[in-house]
Amino acid sequence: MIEFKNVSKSYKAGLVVALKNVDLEILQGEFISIVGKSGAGKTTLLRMITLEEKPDSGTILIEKQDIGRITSKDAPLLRRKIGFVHQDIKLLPQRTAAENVAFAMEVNGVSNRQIFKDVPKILDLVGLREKSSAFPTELSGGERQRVAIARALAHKPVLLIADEPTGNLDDENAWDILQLLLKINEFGTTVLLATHASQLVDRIKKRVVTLDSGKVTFDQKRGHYKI
Amino acid sequence: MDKSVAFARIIKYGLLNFWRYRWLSTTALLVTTISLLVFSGLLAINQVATITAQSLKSKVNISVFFSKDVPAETIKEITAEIEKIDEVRSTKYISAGEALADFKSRHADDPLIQKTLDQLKDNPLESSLVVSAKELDQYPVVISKLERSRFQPLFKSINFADNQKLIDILQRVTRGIRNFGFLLVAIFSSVAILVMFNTLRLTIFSRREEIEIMRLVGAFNWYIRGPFILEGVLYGFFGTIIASALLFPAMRLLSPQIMRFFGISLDASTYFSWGFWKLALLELGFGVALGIASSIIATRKHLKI
Repeated sequence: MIEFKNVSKSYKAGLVVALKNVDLEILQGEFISIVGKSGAGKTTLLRMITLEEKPDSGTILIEKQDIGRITSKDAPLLRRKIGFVHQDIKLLPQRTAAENVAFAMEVNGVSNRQIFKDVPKILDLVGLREKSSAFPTELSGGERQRVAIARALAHKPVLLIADEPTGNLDDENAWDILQLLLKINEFGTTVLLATHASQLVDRIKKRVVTLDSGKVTFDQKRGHYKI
Repeated sequence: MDKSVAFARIIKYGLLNFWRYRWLSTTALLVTTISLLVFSGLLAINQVATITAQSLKSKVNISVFFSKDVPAETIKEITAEIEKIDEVRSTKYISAGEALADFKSRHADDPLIQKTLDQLKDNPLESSLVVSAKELDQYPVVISKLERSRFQPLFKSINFADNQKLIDILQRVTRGIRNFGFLLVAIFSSVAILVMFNTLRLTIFSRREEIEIMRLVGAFNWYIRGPFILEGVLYGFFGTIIASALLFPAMRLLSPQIMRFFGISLDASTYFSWGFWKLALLELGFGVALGIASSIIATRKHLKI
């Protein structure tokens, strides 16, 4: 579903190498943990998929389409196929949990009637139906992250990217979030999880890709955390 | 996405954000109001100065007094001749009777003058022709032509000399207003524009994460920008309402003083009513346009690929 072909990226005129000759194939329905030290290139890899960064060389294909040819005008259309969850839990602060989820659907042109029907179901999926009218400031860290996941799912993405989603959470909440991601994966959504949480990675026994100084150094189908 | 649905959603979130970010909105609104007050205050001052100068200009004229034995028919002929002069805008004939009646009414409170007039057998005043020129600086030309006119022997006197000083002052004031008034409005308006623009830019900057989230979720730029532009419109619209609500009563309060100071009999409140609407519309257009422009420019920076 996603193919990185010899992708390289650097900053500050080549002084900082983020990715170097990365070859990586991600199949539909996979759950992949991308691990590595800080600065290994995990976030850069993920940002390239959402077109927030462009590679200096190489090609990235999503569903056989070279995303390097996508113009800024059409970039939103690609982003609608991708759900994302960040460590700093980016929720719209002046909108309720339900409105945050609804926003992703509105952007996709879903009708108000459909939104009214689906939003409670999506919040139910993440266990937050009773908190639909709460603003982000009224939710705990774990709850906010679950709203973010709900929003990411709202427009039925084919790919869900989670960049350190458990970074600011305690162990219990982190495990809850991970279980949610696994559940989503079971429904057929491909999940890319960038994380430092070694214990979680080892627990779930899914494919692990390790990045070190911008290169893929380890790629194991039922892997464990190794940097 | 259906355009009407998208438009309705943009309106909804523009209004919702305006309310939910009300402290931010209040600040932006305050700055907008002050900027508009500065802009329209200067325009109003400029307008008042111009109107006053024009009003005073209309008080300047030449009075040609006729000898008592000049018949009415001849005065008619003289009037027609004077009206043919290029520089003359208008003439007004005041008969001796009208002059006396006007004198009596102006001194109605003075019993001594009234008694004196009652005792007079004949009307001591002469008939006159009030001549107004098209421009202030054309009066000398008109006087020169009157003095060289073939009817000049029938003129008892041509009264203008007393007004010369006033004309000179007026010409200087009018020129000054024209030259500097526009410049002042331009300078202070630019400052007001920059202040308002910067405030809106900061408002949007403080919500840059929100823009980023919308972008990452796959919203098109116009869908992201729409609510911010609407907020810009609201700042401009409400800023105008508040600025006008402050300016109009102030102008009404000051107009009698202005009339008294310049000695003009112009019904300033009527002018201000009509002029006010022109000014208010100009403010509205200016405020809303500025709100929109500021929002577009400020969001552009955050809407990169």
